[in-house]
Amino acid sequence: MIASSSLSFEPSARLQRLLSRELISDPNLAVVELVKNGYDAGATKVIVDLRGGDVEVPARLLIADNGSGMSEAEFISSWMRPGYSDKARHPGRTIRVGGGSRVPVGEKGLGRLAAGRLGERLTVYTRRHGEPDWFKLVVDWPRFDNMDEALRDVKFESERVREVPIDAFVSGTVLMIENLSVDLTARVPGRKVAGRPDNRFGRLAQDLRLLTIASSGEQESNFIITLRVDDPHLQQYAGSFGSIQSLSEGQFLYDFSISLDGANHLYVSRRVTQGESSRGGAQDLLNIEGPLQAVGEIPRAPHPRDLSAGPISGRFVYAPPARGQRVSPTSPSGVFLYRDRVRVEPYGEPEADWVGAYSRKASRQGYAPIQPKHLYGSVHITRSRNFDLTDMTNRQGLIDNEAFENLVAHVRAEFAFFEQIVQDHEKAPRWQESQARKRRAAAQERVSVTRAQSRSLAHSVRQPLTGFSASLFVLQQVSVDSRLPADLREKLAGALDMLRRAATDISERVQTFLQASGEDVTDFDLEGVFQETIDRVSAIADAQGAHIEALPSSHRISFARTVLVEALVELTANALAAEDVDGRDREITLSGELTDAAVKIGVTDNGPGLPESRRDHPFEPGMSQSGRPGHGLITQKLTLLGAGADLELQSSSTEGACFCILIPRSVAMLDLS
Amino acid sequence: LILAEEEYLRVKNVLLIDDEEEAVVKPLVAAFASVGIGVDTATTWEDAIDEFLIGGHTLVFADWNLPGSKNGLALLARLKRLRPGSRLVLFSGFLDTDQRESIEALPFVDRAYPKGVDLVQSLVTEAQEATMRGERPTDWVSLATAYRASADTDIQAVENLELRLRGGGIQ
Repeated sequence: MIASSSLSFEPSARLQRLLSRELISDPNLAVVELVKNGYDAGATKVIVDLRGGDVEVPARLLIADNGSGMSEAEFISSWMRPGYSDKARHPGRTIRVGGGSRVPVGEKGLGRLAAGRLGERLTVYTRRHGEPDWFKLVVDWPRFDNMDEALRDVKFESERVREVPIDAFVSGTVLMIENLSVDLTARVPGRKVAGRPDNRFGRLAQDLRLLTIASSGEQESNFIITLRVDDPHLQQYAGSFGSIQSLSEGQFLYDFSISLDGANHLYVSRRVTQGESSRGGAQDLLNIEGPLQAVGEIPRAPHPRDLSAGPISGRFVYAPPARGQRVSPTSPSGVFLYRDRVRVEPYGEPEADWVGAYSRKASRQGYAPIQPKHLYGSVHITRSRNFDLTDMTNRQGLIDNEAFENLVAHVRAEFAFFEQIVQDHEKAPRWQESQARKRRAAAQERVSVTRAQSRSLAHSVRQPLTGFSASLFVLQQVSVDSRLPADLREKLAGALDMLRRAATDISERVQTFLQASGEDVTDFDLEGVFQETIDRVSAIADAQGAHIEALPSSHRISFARTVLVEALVELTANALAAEDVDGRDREITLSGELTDAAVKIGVTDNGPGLPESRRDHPFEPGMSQSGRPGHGLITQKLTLLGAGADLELQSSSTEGACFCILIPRSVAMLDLS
Repeated sequence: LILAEEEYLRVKNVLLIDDEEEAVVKPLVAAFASVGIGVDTATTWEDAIDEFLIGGHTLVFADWNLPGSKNGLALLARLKRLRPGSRLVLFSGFLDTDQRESIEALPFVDRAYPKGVDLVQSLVTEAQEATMRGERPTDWVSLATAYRASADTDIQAVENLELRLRGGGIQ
């Protein structure tokens, strides 16, 4: 060695300017950093007040907290020394706030420089509790522009004042930033992000709202941020935000934690809860804990075998909006990362996709069981146990190191596990839906076949009916021939009239049959069908003084609705047309009952019952008691059979009759619910 | 013999086309006869064309579905081209309102009826009116208009309509 000498860096004033203006690229993150300084100072309240500014009143941003504040000596020894952090000197130390404790989030001593990102002039006011006045320092950041000047040579005058621009707190720190270099009310350039406002202020409100998360059991937030703005168009974002509560409502809630057991093996705890649904209240689908080998993992997304990230816990909530609703939780979707209950940016943003929800969806051609835009949640780490998960200096997230990769891999594995559970539980309804579709198609096919058969039948019936009517026409001509004796002409006319009415009746029945078989299968409530039936026959019932009642029925079934209505109308009309029984007011009851095999729909009357001769074969052709052709029942039975149901005479006596329509559960698709 | 000769020489204005000879044709012929209207009949597509070429009927009743025929509408379209002034009536075992409107909108179909109890009276009325029309001098304007309409008929469109209606189940 020839000679040696000690050299030291002499930072140019410009270094301060570069660090303050360029280290944090996102102005919203700069605001959040300054708010976090208040959090670290033990503040329970922080006010962020933005005045947009106009010709007379210049724009400015105020950030005031009621934290510990600084004495002049503390200010000089820490605040005036960028890179110095008392918190870094005492890692893991907590501060007392109210009745609880708080882990400071800053550690680099650079957050204060974020003010230089936002404006050209910073005025700091700080006052410890009990001090008589405020310490004030004005920093003009352009004075650091001269790179020929040493950092230490740039000096600012301090003073003590009695008043601060905002008198909300008697002590703490107030930052006033003027000559704003960024318009915090402007629209954020670039494409829109789902769940995020498109203006910078709206996003700031969202970021501040999400900044801290309450611990379980914490009822009242000990850190409240109040956001104010004078722009009337942005008032919707203003307000006071406490720590957010973990989302506790959703279709599926998944709580997990990963740690190491005594033998240094991965130990996992998992609990899945299915939220309240139409099927009932919330219920645990899974609640297990134990070594990872015992509780299982998804082969396609295995966990790393180590836990270099440190213990991890979290909650995923899948909360798709209910069908027909667009309402979703107020927070934007995403899984956010919290360290000691303060959010670490930017994890949770859709573009970060650190949980892998979007990439998994993409790999499944969009048919993922979990739609990322309805996924919410938080993952928790702590400075005291996740030592290697440290922030990037620019606050864009955690430093991408081995521990971070380990964290992401574990979280993704847990998400895959959650997704599998959601898929397993969604699969059953989907399978049922598919079955229902097939059943419906089969039922529709049956109806289509019936329809085709009905048309064919209508055609075949109408051929002879046409000829029959033509013959009646001939007879009609004959019957008016004056050469025939008058009494013969009269008899002939009477017979003709009867035959013509019979022909018309057959024709009308064919038409009814056709209409009934042309119906599609739909879902409907039995009560609605009963009501329609009653409405259809009410005129006849009223004329006869008969009473028709529908017993309450809450059953909802799938069937060819018109087929059912026509059958019920026919049965009810038959019951009304039966002869009166002396001293008995006619009562007809419609009822719906669910049996093991079928939906049983009954029409019960207290009439004279079927004639003895017809009780054993009620569906065979013959004239009804009222003189009507007895084809109605046969037609309805055939139509019901064609649609997959049946019609039976349940009972008949002199006390009345009961006809039942039986729709098998599989046809009514009740076996799927 | 004299009666038979008179019958033979009498001009029949009506042609009835239906393959259901026993169930439909004979009873209808009897019904027409009972009011003094003579009709020619055919039970196939080919017979119908032959009868029409010979008789030049002013009124044709045609069933929709004849054995051996391509379809009923095409038969009517062809008859209309042969004699544009003839009135052509279609009837069928099943026609619903929509189909009836679609068919009656065609330039060569003057009317469509469903088969059934009311058909005979409708046909008899049509036949009586046709007989009266046959006794009047030829309306050359109507004839020319009908001719132009029939000449414009797109047979392919007719067949497409036929297929569509058959999908709805017309027999």
